[in-house]
Amino acid sequence: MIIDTDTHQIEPFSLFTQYLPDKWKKLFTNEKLATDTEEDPFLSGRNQGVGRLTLEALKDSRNLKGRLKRPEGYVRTPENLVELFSKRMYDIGIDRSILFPTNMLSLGDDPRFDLEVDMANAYIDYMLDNFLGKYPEILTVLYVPANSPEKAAELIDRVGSEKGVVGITITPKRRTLGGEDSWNPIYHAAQRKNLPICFHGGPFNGEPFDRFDKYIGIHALSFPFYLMLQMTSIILEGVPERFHKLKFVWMEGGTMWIPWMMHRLDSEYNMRRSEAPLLKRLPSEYIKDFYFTSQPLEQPMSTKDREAAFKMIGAEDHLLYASDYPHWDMDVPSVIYDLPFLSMTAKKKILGENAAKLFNIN
Amino acid sequence: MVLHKVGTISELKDEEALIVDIDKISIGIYRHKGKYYAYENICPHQGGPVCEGDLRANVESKVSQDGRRLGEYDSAEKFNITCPWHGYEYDIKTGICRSDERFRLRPFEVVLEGNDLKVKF
Repeated sequence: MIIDTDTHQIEPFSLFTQYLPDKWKKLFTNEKLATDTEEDPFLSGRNQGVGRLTLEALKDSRNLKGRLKRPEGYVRTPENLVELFSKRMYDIGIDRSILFPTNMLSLGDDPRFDLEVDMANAYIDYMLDNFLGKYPEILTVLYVPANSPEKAAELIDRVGSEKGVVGITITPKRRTLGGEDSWNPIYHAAQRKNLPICFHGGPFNGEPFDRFDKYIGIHALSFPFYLMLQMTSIILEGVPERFHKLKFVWMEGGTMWIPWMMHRLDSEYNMRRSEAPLLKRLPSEYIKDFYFTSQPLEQPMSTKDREAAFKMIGAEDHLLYASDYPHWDMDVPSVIYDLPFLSMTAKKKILGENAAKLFNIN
Repeated sequence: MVLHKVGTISELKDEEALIVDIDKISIGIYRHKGKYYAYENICPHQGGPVCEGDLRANVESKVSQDGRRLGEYDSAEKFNITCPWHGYEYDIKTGICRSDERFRLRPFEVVLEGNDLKVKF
């Protein structure tokens, strides 16, 4: 069974605004927001903080001035979700998909924390009413409003056991870091429900990436950067020592940044151990306990480099295939299947068995 | 090697792929600046339908003698087939990826017989 641990559809906000309190509905009355999914209404959103690029220039650069074509079914409507989603899963050979709330990936940086709480609740209610538990191939991770940890914990307790909810997702760009005590209610709730916490890379707007004038530099750095930020805090503040049952997944940063992080944090820790007294092991040893999604899998010049990186991160047991379909840097399952140094056992684990075990997917 | 008829010259538009399936192989045939090219419609990167992508001029950039960027422009000589999935660019004349020579399209010889357009494989 091939499990895609990170897939997307773009939902016009109009699909789930009915689940929002009235006070927010006016945010979504702009017709463009409901139809042009490159727009969003958040103060942290794609239409804010793009720096040297105008929004139009960013869009233009993002799709390589029209060279990249979006596949059919990219934009969700109530009518096309299941049919087109199933078709495209079949097209690239996917049996189960973990769907991400794409349009909320920049919401964590919005200063209106109550908006994040209401959006998180609205989105999962919309998914539960329409898809989760009805279509076994469609699963999701619960977006939690991590800027309001008590509210996030309430949400986890309310829906964390529902069919189709296989984990928790936290967008990493936000005003606090995961090592802070304020996040503890989220960790307690995640442990209660035995749900892994998934940090999904991005977003790409705002400081410091708005200094670039083309998308290539913005995208290359922003996705792994925010993962590095949260991972560093979580390790150095001893979250794995304080919450032994928690499982963390780091998504959409590729794989080659992880060995660098292992070396970098170990080196710093050896020099400055007194600043991270909760640690009982080297930072790299905590990283080896984490899980990672594979996409976008890099193209190193030497297979040996990739093999070494896979060995360092314990890929056979801790790497999870992800497509990120239908985004422009998606990976099809053959990127794992065709790797010459992996045994068939390892390929099966990375393509599905590791995710089935971690997310308790039958 | 066998010649396979894929169409007639009149069916082929300049600077745009004519995509045909022959013996379960999808092939894109191009007429570019009066010359004919054909490639398998599979991107060697991840198997995308490369010939469904745009045929566009190679983007280049000039630098002044003192190191200033003088702006980007479309090449008049170099053109690329661009995979619509990930944007990999391939030289229309050789099928070799512009940014990484490890990636090469599978080429086919194009043969004209009267008005018939044929590929050899």
